[in-house]
Amino acid sequence: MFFMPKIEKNRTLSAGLKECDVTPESNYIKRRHFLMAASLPLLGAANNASAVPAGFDAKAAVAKTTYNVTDEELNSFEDITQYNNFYELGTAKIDPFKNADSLITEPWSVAVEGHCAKPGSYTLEDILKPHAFEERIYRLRCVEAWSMVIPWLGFSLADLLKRFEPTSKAKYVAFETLYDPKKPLPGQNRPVIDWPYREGLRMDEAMHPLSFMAVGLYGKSLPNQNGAPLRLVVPWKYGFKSIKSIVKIRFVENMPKTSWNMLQSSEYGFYSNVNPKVSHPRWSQSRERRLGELFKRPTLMFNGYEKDVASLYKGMDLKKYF
Amino acid sequence: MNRLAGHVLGLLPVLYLVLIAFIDGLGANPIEWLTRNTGKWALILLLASLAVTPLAKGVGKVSLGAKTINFKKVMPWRRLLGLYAFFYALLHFSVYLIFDLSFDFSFLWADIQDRPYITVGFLAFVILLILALTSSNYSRRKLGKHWLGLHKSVYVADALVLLHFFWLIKADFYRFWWYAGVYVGLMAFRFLVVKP
Repeated sequence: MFFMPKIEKNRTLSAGLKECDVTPESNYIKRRHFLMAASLPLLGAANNASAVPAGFDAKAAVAKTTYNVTDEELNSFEDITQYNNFYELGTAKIDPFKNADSLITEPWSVAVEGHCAKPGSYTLEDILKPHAFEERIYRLRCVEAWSMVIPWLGFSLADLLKRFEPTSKAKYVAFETLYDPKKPLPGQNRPVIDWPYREGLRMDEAMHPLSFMAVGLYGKSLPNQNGAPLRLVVPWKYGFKSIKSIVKIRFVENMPKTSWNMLQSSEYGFYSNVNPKVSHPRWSQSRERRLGELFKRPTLMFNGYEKDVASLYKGMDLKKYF
Repeated sequence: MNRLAGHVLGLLPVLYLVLIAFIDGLGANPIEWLTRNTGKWALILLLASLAVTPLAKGVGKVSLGAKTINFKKVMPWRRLLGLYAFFYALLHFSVYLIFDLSFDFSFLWADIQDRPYITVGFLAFVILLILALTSSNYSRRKLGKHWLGLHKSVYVADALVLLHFFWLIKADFYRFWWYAGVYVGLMAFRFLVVKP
C-alpha cells in the first residue's frame, strides 16, 4: 500500500520539529479521508480490501514532516483558498476561487519529455503511486509583497524527477500548466500571458530537498484554485515560480523560458529568489504583509530558507541573477 | 439634482465599504482591499467631477420626448464630487501610511524617492490636497483670476493618478484602459468640443 508512511530518517534542515507545530488534530481525520479517497482508484478493484487504510497512522505521517516553519501561525484554509494568483482562472484574487469549477482535473496526465531515460505520458495515478505523502509547512512569499504559511501535502520533487532518470544533458527542468486552446480556462480567453504558463528550475534547485510537489493542503486534496491536481512548491522563491496544475515536465539543456520573465524580463528573473535587498523595479521587496496581520513584517533572505539554499547560489551576484 | 443627492452619492462607496467590512470581513487581505477600493473610488469620483463641465457646457439641454433634461444644473456638483474624490484619496493615503508604513515617515520618504508609482501618486495627492484647501468660496474670491488656473491642475492630478495605477499593474491592463479611455474622452470633449 503506497500510502503507508515510510519510516524515514529525520533529516534536519534549519527548522526543527516540535509537537505544537503539527496541523491541528481535527485535520488528521480529513487527511485520512483524503488518503482513502486518493488510494481507491489507484489500487484498483481487486485490491479494495487492502485499500482500507487500517494501518495508516496519521501521527507517523506527521512525524515525517521535517521542514516546517516552526514559530509562525498557519494561515486559515479560507485565506489560502480564496486569495490566489492563478491567472488561468482570472486575474482578481478571488477569481480562482469563483472559477474553480471550470478546471477539470479528471482525467489528468503529465507529459514527461526531453533528456531523460523514461519519457512518456504518465497518468496522475502513475505519477502519485510510488510516493508516500508528507506534510510540509512552508512560507509562501508572493512577488507582490504578501505572504502566507501553508501546510502542504505531497512529496519531494527530487523523488519524482529521479524516476524519469534524467541524463547528464538535463541541466534544467521546465514545467507547463494546462492550456487547451480549444477549451481555454476562463482567464485564458484573454492573452494576459502568452499561454501556457511556463516555469523552470535549474536541476540542482529542482533536486533540492525543499523542492516539493504538492497534491493537497490542510490534509485535503488540493483545491482547484490552488493548482490541482499537481503543483510545484519552491518555498525560497517568489510564489509565481511554484507553477500550478502541471501537465508537462521537460528536461532541457538550456535555461527554459518562463512566463513572467517573458512578459517583463527587467522585473522578473529566471531565479526569482526571495531577496529583501533586491527590489522589484517598481516596488520594494524589503517587507511583506503576512495575510492575517495588519502591519508589514520584514522579508527574510531566501524567504527564511537561507541556511538550506544559499549554497546553491554561491559566487553568484544575486543583484544580477535576480 | 440637489446637493443632498450629491452627498449621498459621494458617501455611498464608504457606506458600501463599511457594510462589506461587517458582512464579509473584506476577505483574506483587508488592507489591500481597502487600499484598492479607496483608490478606485477616488479615481471614479475624479472622473465624475471631470465630466461635470463637459456635461453642463457641452451638452446643456437635452430633450427626451416631452421631457427636457437641463445638464446646466449639474455645475455645482463639480466641487462636491472633487471634494469627495479627495476624501477617498485621503482614506487611500491614510491606509497606506498607517498599515503599509506603520506611520514611519522615513519609509514614506524612501518610497517617494525610490518608487515611481508612489512618487506620482503622492504628487497627485498633494495637488488634490491643495485644491481641496482652496475650494471654498472665500478662497475663490481671494485668489481671483488665479483660482481657475490653479484648479485646472486637476487635469494633471488625474493623469498622475492614472499613471500611479498603470505602474502598479503586473499584467492585466483591462480595467486600466477603461479608466484611461474615459479620461482621454472627457479631456478631448472638454478641449475640442466645449473649448476652454
